Amino acid sequence: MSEEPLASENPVGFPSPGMRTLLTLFLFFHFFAILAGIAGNFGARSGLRRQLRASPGVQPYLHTLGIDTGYGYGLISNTADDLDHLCQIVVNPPVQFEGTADEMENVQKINLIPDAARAWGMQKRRYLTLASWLAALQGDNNEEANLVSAIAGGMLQRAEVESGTHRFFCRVQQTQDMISLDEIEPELQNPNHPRWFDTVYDADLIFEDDHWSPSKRGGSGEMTQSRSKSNRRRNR
Amino acid sequence: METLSIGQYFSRLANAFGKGWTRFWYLPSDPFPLCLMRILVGIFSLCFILSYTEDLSYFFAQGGLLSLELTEQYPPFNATYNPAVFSYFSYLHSPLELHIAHWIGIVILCLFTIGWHSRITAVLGLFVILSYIHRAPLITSEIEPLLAAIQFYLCFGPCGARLSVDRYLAKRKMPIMPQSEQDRGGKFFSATLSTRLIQIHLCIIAAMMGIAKLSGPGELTGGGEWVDPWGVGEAVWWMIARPQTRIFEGLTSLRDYPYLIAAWTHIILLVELVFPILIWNRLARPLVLAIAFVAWGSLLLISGIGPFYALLIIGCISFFHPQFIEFWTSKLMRTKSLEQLDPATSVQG
Repeated sequence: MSEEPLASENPVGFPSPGMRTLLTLFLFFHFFAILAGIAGNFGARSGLRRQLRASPGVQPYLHTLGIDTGYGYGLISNTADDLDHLCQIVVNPPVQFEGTADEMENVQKINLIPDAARAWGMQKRRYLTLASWLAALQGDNNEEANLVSAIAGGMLQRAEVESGTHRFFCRVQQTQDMISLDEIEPELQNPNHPRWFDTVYDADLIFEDDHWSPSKRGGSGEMTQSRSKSNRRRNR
Repeated sequence: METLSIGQYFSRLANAFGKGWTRFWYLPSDPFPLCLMRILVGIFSLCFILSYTEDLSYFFAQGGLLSLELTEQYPPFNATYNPAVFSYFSYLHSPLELHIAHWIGIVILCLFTIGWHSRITAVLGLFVILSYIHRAPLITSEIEPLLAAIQFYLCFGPCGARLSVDRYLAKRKMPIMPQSEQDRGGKFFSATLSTRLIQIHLCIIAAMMGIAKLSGPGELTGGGEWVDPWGVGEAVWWMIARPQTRIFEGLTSLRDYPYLIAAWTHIILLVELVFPILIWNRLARPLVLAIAFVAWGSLLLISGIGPFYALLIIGCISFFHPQFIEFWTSKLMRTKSLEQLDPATSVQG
């Protein structure tokens, strides 16, 4: 790196050559780490991309700064990831409780998202993110059960419910297709109508060994939002 | 045309690259944009931390939603796996302890925002923000990595050199600027370094967001034929249609204007793809910034991650010319009026 021409142009205020070298080394490492983090987190991950992210110091550096991400913020992908997930506990449901809309009207419910959470706020985003983790972990029985146990435990503690047998639901809220409200059934014009919801996780909560354990009943499993061309034509 | 030997060519190439690199990263510049960003990022960080107040015990206290045992099941955030991932909340369990730490964090960020000992409070502010992120990785979304990155970059620059309590106190103590300061003309190489880091990071984020929208989801499940919402121009509608994060019910009436929805969708996509390239062209920059502000401003309303886009817009201040910001700031504050600026100087070179 040539210093003299720069020094003659503006000698005041430049860092010393030694400092410049150190900063340049830092910049190379910093951007290498960021790009390796992106390579390792974005899209399909090949062996090389994983190895890049596993380079010495890269992952600890990115984790420490909280920037280990691929920035793959597609926002909408026409998959189940687009849908909002909502967790709910029904306190002491009747024996033959199936969780239908009519049954839900007459039971005590605890919602994960506080009623006061604003649509645009960070608070609501946190609860939606937490619920989407549960959807993402479905199928991995250990992690799924641990997460449900923690979420349910927190929800019941906040509601000051210490005993009983309860039901835990994780539901997805479907969104209205791009059609006029006039074209759909009047009752479905309300986005919070029960038919817009689908249960993806359903479990009984039993208190044992100082924590709430879920006993999974099985929901409709992973669901997809994907709209086929034929569906789209029909909807229009 | 001059004929160069291979050795001369590489020597000249290395020389030119070195000069360009040094000028790009270290040429001293006015820290005014950085100082304005300090205030805005400080306010944003305060909102971020304050939004935890209601849920602090619910999330982090013993028996709360996010017990320490649960967080530590995820290896990247496990202190045994990675000792550098530190959060003081990991050592606090009672609601009282949590709230004391929470309010100390708020005080630190207030001091950072007003610019009191900015060099120290910037680093402490980063520590505070990271403590929340590391304690609760399961509830972090798109917002946190960008906030942490910008706060980290602000630690490098003299973000308290202007518009700050530090500046006010220094002026009161020494009304006449010392000779060394006068020689420097109020410019700092660290301001350039910090600003460039923010600029490049924003370009990387914009590029990856654009590529993510083009490439679609990583894997598809279910048997249905997949339709690309960004390709067909319906992505904006699907964001508006999500009831949980809808701000204005009135936006749903846009379903009757599919061409408007498609144009809106494609403008967002276009901005994210061209931003990282055209933002470096001096003539194109004002236009790119204006369109980006509109596109990201609209996503602020419909995406469900509005704070992320607000922060992205705040980050774009790094592309503005210090004089331009100073002109508008002083105009807003009506303390002094500068000469009319040439529009070409409205963005940083």
